[in-house]
Amino acid sequence: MSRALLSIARFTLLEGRRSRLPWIALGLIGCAFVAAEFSAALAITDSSSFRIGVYAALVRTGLVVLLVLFVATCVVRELSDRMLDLTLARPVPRASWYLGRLSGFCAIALVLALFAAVPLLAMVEYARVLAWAVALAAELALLGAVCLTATVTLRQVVPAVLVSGAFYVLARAIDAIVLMSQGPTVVPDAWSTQVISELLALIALLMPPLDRIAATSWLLGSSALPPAGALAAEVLIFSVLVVAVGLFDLYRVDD
Amino acid sequence: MGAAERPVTAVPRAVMVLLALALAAQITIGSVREGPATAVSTLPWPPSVPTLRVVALGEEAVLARLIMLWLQAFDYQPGVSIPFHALDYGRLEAWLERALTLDPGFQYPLLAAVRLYGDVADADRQRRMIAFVRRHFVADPQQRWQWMAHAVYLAKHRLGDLELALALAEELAAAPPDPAIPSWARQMHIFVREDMGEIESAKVLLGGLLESGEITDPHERWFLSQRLHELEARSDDAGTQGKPSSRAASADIE
Repeated sequence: MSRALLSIARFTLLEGRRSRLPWIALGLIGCAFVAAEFSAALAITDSSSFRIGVYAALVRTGLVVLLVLFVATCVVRELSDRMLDLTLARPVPRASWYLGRLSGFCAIALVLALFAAVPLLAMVEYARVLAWAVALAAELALLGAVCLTATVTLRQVVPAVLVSGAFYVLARAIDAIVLMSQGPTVVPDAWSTQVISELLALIALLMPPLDRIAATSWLLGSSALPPAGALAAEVLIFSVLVVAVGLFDLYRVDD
Repeated sequence: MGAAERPVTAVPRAVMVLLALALAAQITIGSVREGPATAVSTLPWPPSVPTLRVVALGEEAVLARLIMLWLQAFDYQPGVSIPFHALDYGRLEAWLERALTLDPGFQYPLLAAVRLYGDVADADRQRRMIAFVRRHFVADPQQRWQWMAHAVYLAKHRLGDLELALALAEELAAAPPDPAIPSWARQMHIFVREDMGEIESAKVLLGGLLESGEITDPHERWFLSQRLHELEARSDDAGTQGKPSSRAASADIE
């Protein structure tokens, strides 16, 4: 199983290189850097924080979009070309294919996060850049897993990307949404308020708190770095859950 | 693309166990996770209108509404309710200005000014909000008369400044004729004068209004006529008690 897994992971990396993903990522990082420089030039004061903040926010979101698109197109292409059927016709367990693909995407996520961190080394202290880069890699890997699962289940690029995008937005906004639902402007006694509040609490329970991961404030020094252990545990547990859902779906698909 | 599904029994037991364990772990960690942090922050100055127009991407009316929702949510930062008097009203006014500039037909900023932020027990802040409404009333009296009317109420009853209430009511009355502005709003200055003790002036204005033919509704005419009679009765009472000012005013009218 491990040999097949490693081979599939290696082919995923190769696919990333052949589809010019590194160049696209570097182009995206370059664009984010130019936009950050532009915002710093416009700022009257504290231009450094504008540069860092704009760069980190743009590159974080941009890389998530890039990775999600890459994962969805790769997997759909493989399904459309019947390459998955060919692979599974050999003595390769479905779990090996899934985990091999996921390992490849995680490796790509790590490379992308390192690319993104390099320009920051000249502007921010190393420890903060390292923490941010690791967190970004974890976030990208998590999104890779979500998109892989969504693509295996939905089998089309557009629905898979939409589901992954919606998940990302929700995971980043869920804390704020929960807080808004408890604000004094809502009518507390209305049944609709209570239903929505309970529903949001349930969703929050099942969501990873992505708004607390790879926050730009870590780089700006405006907030202390959170305890790494708790965040790592949350990301890991959610990743395992996504992998389990993905495997469950993959084993049920009858090609 | 619609692949057929195999039965659930086709899924290896290890995967099922992993799914159940991961779900249980996720729910556990989600329930023990520290809740979202709340922190009271101060209201920032708004960006310039050109910047906001860029951000709006052509949807300025939507951005104006989002600004107002955000501003409203700012007063109620989750977990902490910020009293209005703790807000920086200079910045608040700037945000209201921006929302109104982005969508001049949007009534919410004016409503918020008089009904939310003007309802604070602080005379300076109340005056500031009244001045905001007064300044913007001129630009579109047809749409904004109701906020001006509310500003009159605010000045008269909450602020207790009858001079200001009269000035506002007179501006309201002086607005160009338009069926959108009801006559009661235009008549407010008469009743403010009455409250100020300027009964003779109120009588003259009310009488003039009735004679002008502007009031066509019979019920309204009857109500105003009754009011005029009351004023005349009060004026006569004041006259018999020898109030020189009322007498002089009556003489002027005659």
